[in-house]
Amino acid sequence: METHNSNFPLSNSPDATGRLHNQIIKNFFPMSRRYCYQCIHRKARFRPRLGTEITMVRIKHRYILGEVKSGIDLNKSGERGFINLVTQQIRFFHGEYGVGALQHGMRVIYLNPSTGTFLLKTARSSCRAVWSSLTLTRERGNQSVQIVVLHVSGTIKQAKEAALQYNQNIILVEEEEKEEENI
Amino acid sequence: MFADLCSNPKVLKNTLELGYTRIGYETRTDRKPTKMAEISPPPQDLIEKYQNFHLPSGNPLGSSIKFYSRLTFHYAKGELNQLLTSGNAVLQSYDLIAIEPKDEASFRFACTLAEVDIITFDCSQKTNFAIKTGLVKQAIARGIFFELKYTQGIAGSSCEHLISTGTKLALVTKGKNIIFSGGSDVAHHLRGPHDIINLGVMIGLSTDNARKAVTVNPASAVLHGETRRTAKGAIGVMNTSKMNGEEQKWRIDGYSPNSSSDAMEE
Repeated sequence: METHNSNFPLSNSPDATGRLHNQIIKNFFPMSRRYCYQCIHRKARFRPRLGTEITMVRIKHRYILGEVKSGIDLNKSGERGFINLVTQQIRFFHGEYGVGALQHGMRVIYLNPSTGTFLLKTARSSCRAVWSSLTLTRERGNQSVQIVVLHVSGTIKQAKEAALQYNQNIILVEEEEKEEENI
Repeated sequence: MFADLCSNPKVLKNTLELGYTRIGYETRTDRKPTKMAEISPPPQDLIEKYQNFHLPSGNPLGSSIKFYSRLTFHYAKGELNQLLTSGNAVLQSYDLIAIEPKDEASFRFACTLAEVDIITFDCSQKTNFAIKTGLVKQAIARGIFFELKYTQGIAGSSCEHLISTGTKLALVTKGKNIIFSGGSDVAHHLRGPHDIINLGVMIGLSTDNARKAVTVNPASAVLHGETRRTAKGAIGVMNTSKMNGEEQKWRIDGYSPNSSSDAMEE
């Protein structure tokens, strides 16, 4: 348990010292006191919000929602095969340096073998480079591959909404085509 | 909203699926087109079929599909220079005219004097000529657009030349007046518009300019084609039999919306 040092540097972001302050208040002050003596003198908007988590810097990600339109049999290769394909393409376009730099945050979150839809998580800084190597993929072995990226977002929730929207549009289009054929 | 000005009727369905709404069909020549038969207009049956197509991008009201006809000259030295400044009637019937210069002389002519809308680069091989800043600036001042065909980086053995000409162009034009288009008749070479925007960013354009390269700039190129066809951009001539819809027919003398079609054929 750390003592509450009066020389403790109070940063401007309440998030950074949020949890520390919560611990301190719980352990040193009575239940009735909400803020320590230093914080109460700060302006209200800089007081640490109670119940905040401690993360100094938010590590942000990008989620690439895409569709493998033709070429690979995902039933056989699965998630591992897909990641192998992506790293192979990164190695082809960005070299060894690229693989080292970009592979770090990369993970397959979702892969649907029958439709070819995938959700790939990358670090925010490497998103565009990974994306470019996905679009420029031409073939794996003998087969020509086409990967189309539908949506790039910062959260999985938005990616899920985008996927739903895309599928709805496909169904709408198919229904219209059927109507036109009937007419 | 997204445009692909160098497409092929074979892959129409795929380009529409990917989200392109302004589509241009290309005819390539390296000779003078002297006969009307050499022109291939956009396929009318496809246009009628896809008039009410709802696109996967989910905007049924906004995106109507438009087709443009385009003629590309690829030549070296000064063979076709005179043709391109003549105001030939055959040329004026195309919505867009493009040049694919094969050497420095034709590039210089294209940037300075030629009456064209688009300058294309062959990205499957290394360019013979240097892309000079002065010439490019002149072309931009005249409203000419520089086109890169992204499928040439996917179809061939390497995307090296696509990226080298692309980065050179992005540097020299400062991001203005660039167009991306597909140039292939094979379906699995095509990519979606957001992918192409990302490619533009990787080449060195800003996100704004890369987005413009697929949306606004092709529309501007089409407008440039219209002004090329009209006299100094002020007067236009239209065949009355080809007029469709209320917004165009009011121009005909003696036309009223409730009258029969006989009155309009005068």
